[in-house]
Amino acid sequence: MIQLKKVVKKYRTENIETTALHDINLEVQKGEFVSIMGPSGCGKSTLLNVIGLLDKPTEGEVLFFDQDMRKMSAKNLAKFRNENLGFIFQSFHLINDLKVIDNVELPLIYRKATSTERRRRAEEALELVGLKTRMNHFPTQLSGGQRQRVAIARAIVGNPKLILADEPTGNLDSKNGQDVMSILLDLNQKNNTTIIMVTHDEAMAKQTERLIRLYDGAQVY
Amino acid sequence: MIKHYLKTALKSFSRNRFVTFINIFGISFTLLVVTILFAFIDLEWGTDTPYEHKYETLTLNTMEMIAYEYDTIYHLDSNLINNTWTYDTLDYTTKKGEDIANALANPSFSIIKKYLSNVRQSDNKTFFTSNTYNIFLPAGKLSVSIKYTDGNYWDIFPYKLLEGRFYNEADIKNKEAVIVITQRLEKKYFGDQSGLNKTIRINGTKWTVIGIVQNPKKYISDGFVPYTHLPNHILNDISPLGRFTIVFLAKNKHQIKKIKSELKAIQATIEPFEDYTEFFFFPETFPEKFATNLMNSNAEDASKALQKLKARLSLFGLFFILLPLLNLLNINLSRVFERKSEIGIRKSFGANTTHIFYQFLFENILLSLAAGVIALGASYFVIHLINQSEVLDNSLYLNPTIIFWGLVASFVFGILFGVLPAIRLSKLNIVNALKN
Repeated sequence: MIQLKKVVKKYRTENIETTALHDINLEVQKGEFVSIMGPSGCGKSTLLNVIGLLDKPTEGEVLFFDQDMRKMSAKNLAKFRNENLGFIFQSFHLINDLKVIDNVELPLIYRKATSTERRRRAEEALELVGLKTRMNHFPTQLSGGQRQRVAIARAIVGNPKLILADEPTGNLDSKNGQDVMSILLDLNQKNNTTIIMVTHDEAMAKQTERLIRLYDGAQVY
Repeated sequence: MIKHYLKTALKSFSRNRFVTFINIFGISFTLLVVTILFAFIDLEWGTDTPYEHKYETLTLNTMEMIAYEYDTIYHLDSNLINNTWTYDTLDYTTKKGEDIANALANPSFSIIKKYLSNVRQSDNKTFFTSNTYNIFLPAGKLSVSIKYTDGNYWDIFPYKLLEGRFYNEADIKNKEAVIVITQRLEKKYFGDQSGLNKTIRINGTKWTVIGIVQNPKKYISDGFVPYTHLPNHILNDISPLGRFTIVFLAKNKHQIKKIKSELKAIQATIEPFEDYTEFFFFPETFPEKFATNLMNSNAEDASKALQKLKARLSLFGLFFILLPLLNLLNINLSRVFERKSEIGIRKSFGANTTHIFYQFLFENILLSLAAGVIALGASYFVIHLINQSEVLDNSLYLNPTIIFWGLVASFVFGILFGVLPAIRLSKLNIVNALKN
């Protein structure tokens, strides 16, 4: 499903060049649940951003379904993200000005979907994470665990083929963290959704099928 | 999508109430000034009654006559007689034409009668002159301006007649003591009663009021009487210079040029008067007349004055819009840049540059339109205050055209000060935006 070939990511300032990713070669199959671990600053989030097409690699290829993403225009990349990818962030990244239901509807706003259809699918997604009753609340009225569940509902509402989770349990206590993990495992097992998760938590990583370790921007085998 | 944008915008406005207030206040204050400026422009440049033909008329109220004089050289001769110097002056006249004497004024009635009664290129024409008189009423002195006109005046300046009738050629010929007055004079002279068929005493004459006309937006005169009531020394004056204004009606701009050419030809046929041998007419279109008045320029330089006026107004307009725009732009940029992470989120979930651009442009246009509506309400109030204070002779109005242009201005404002933030936000890098 996803292939990374010799991916290098460098950040350049006026005087310094920092290599965040060295020669990453990676393949993720459809339906896999992969976790990425490593110490802080080792390039986990950078790798996730490159896979999620939020950032471009300096060198190397990123292929989705054998299609080279480098050749895609910004507009088509946005469309691709909308139709195929769902993101879950450590700090939830909900829009505080919008109600829970409107936050969940967000990916569908950029698709051709009627408002009734959007509402129906958002309600379904919220039901799946057990927060339908809170759909008219604002994110600031929810607890951390609830916010992350809203973020999961937003990530799955568009029925993506791949979910990219950047430390989804990092800001949660162990109970809420496990609840979130259970939802992700369910999605993977029941819906066969491919998930790539960055985590610091060894216990969470052990629950996934495959673990990739990074150290100083390089894969550790 | 629009509903979603609207929801987000309203919530964002209410969250940043102070900044939103500054934005709306800034825009509405600028628009208020723009709207009042429009009202003044409309007062001068509008075609409300009785100025329906404003842009099809050519006004002649300046002519010049030139006399070529003899240059004189003075020779001073001195003699010493009995130890006393005596001086003797001898004149020597040199050639004629090196010095000129000129006189500039309105044309006289004799010029109208003899040379301007049959300008072929003009569809119609009217002539008139004005005088101001004092009327003494129990309530105090009333100063009124009276226009002496011919019968065509009502065709070229179609006043709205509220009661009675206008005077006609027969009234003019028979020197009937009839007067058409404005509502304003009627109210001042007769109070709440109708003035029709009543008499009004001005300058020793008892005039019968035969018509009441609606007050024009722009003050012109209080009353109108047949020109045949002018004293004989004005009507029989043989001097080319006098006190009349002649307004020619043309079908279009092209015809105005033809009238100008014909007047040029006519001026060459004017017979010498005393030492004056050359005569020049300076007809002006409305924009030219406005420009020469405003720029304090001579009628001879009417088109140059108009160009100068246009350039200055454009420059003034540019600065006037640009300065508040830059200020608001700055405030607006800081307002929207607080929402960097929202852009990152939207882009992660599929928004492209165009989506983000339109979302923020929409917000700014919404803000400006809200400010526009407030500005129009405030303008209505301010104009009401200006009219009530009677600082101006004329009344300002907010007509549909001004409201339309006010809203257009606010829309343009929204685009102008919304485009830059929208472009900058739409081009934000997703990862950097999410880190915010």
